[in-house]
Amino acid sequence: MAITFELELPAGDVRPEVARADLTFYGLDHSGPSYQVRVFFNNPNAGPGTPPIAGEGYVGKFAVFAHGGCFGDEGHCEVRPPVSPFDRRQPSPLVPIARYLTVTDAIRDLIGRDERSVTVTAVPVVRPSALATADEAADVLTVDQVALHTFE
Amino acid sequence: MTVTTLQAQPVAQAPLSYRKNVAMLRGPQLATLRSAYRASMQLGDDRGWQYWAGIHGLPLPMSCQHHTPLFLAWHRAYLYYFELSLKNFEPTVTLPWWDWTSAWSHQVGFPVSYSVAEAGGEPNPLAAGGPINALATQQGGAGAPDHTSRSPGDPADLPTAAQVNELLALGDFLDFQQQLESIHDDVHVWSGGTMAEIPYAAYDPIFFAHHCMIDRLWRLWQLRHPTAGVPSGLLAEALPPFNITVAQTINVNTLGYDYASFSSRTQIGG
Repeated sequence: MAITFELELPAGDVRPEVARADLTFYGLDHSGPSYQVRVFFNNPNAGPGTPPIAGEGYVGKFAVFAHGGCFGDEGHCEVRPPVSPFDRRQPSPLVPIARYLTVTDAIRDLIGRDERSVTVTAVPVVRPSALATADEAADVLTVDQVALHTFE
Repeated sequence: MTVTTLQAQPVAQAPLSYRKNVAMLRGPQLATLRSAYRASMQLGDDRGWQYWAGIHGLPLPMSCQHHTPLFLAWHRAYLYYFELSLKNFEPTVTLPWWDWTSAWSHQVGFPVSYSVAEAGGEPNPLAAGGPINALATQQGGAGAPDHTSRSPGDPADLPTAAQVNELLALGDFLDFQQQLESIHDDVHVWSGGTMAEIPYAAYDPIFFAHHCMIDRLWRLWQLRHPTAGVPSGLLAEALPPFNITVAQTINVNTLGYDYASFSSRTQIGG
């Protein structure tokens, strides 16, 4: 299911030069089917069928090559913290991840039009694969936090 | 963060193997590659294809590193050891890379040499459709595949040369690695079928051509940023099941290979 949220844009008397703008998604799950996330600005009605073109507010996509489910016994894929300060084992491979999308031109454009915020819609798309059907897109996208960072 | 730079290396004492662009492989080179894959696929033990493909995903344990700081180093080690296993059958074989940014790829998608059903009157071992380890299928549960498949997207959606040029300009290793892994993910998801899921992706030979491209881009980045490097805190990390550390993967010449779009040589004397 798509998620929609609002983010503030740089505001104030002096607008910063934006050499690069990254939209970062924190806490993405990658335990289930692989998926693609299409990102739209100011198009809260965007969905899987929305054409990925600038006229629809499309600003880019990223993919998550994922683990496809759990194949062990109960508890096999639980993300566990270290059991002791001396636990040197690798962290669980299923620790949620971050992905960022560079959206410099789109952010410059919004700032140039004196916009103070942007509505972001992230649309998950699951392409047919060995372990997934398009129906699974409904709950594949989970995210803890999204941030916009600009750099001068 | 402290980084370790890539040290200048002396000329290798033995000729390196050169991994080549799959689109530029000549007939005999392609025949050697297919011969090595066929021989590997005929073995059912831990020298053969099913064993090597299974290291990445199923059957358990899934050893691959994705979305971690060890992504590039682990896959470099994987390609290195798998390539050595192919050299057991064909000593001159090298893994080729699939340049999915090329104009040709943006027209046809997968390389033709990895798509045609037959080659030389035999089934093409580089094509999809090969079997998957029975234990891997069993562990995948209901609906798990027992053969590889592909369901590619529009070739025009593959990553572009412009994206790669932006990537190669990044100056920080971890930034570069994360962006490269994101492009890597795009190609897996674009491929669809078994290539799109970690547990079964490596059972398709195109996996290794894709990852060769990823490894090559790391090599190109290293050449462009000789003073940048892998954070020192990662260097001593092991890369199981391979008996090699991150530090030992950094210089491809010490692993006996490099990348060339084209390579030819001739023996003079000896």
